[in-house]
Amino acid sequence: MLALDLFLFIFSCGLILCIIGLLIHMKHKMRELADLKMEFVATASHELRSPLTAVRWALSELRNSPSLSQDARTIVNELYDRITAIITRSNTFLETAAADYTHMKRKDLKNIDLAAMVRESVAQAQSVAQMKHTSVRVDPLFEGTAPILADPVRLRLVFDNLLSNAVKYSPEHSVVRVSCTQDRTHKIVSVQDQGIGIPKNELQAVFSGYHRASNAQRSGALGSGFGLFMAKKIIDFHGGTITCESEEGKGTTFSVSLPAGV
Amino acid sequence: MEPQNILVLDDNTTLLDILAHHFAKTGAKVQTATSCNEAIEKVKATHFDIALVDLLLPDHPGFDFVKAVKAMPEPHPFFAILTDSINASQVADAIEIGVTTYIQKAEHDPGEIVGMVMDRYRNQKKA
Repeated sequence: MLALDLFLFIFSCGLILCIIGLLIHMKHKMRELADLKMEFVATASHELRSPLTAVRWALSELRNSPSLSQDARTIVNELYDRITAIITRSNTFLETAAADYTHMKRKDLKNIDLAAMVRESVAQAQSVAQMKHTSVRVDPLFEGTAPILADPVRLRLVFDNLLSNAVKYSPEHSVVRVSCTQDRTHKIVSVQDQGIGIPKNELQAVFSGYHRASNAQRSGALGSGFGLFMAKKIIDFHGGTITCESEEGKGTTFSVSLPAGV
Repeated sequence: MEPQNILVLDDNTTLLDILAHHFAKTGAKVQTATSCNEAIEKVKATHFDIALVDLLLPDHPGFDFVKAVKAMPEPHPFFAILTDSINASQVADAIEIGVTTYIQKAEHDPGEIVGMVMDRYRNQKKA
């Protein structure tokens, strides 16, 4: 009886060790596969987008040429619109393939200055906003407060995306406001625009991936709807929340709440 | 202070010519290079205020050019990375070597790129 118990015990231990070994091996293989995928996307995106960039830039030069006849300008403008649409679609495919959330690891989290990150993201958005005759104003209430734990590259993508959207859908001479508030447990960054807004019945879907509000599609602005899906995944990983309030025709506010580094 | 000398490094000569033409409108003298080694030689001969760097080059990655120039005595140019590749780890690499201007070429017209780079160059000079 004792021998049988001992045999079962050794057998169970062996089985558990085998399963653990198998899981470690699978995890290693998945990581290898993810690395290969990222490498493929990096190469494919370059090979695909380099010729598209050359065509876009050449058409951009041509459409601004004063010697172009009206008929020719109409055709060139149409070609330019089509090529930018192809670029946007290729971005969607490539970003989807590149989006590997298994690469988000707790060990990549660092202490970061959230205010500095928001400031850099705003500075980047300012130059595009100026070209659209809009402005971005920030209320830097975080100054001098404790850092937060975050993956700096991915979190920056979230703010870049929110600001880029806000500027993209804002009318001329409007203001995009970035406010930073905090309570005892969370830091909250809000990006508020005075743009086209999102229809009430479509609000739930904005973070679901590839969803673009019907009025955003009609606006003619380029976009895939993937950015907000990616933003939610990244904020979820950080243990935070991202929410959206909007009124069609009046504007939209996205709020990112992140655990404060206390 | 406005930039006096600008270097544009890209192995695609069509893009190189268009970008050089647009940056020349700022009043700066623009030089071009199509490889990392050629660009390094030009930096040895001239001080550039701005260097625009494509990442995929025939001889070495664009990051090698940035590192080689940063190893030279100061002042260093303001670097802007231009790329067509979607690669999150490249963004992290750029930040690690102190380059925060990272522009996807396909997503902007050349005139927009000039505006973005000049804005950030001026902001850095003010800081």
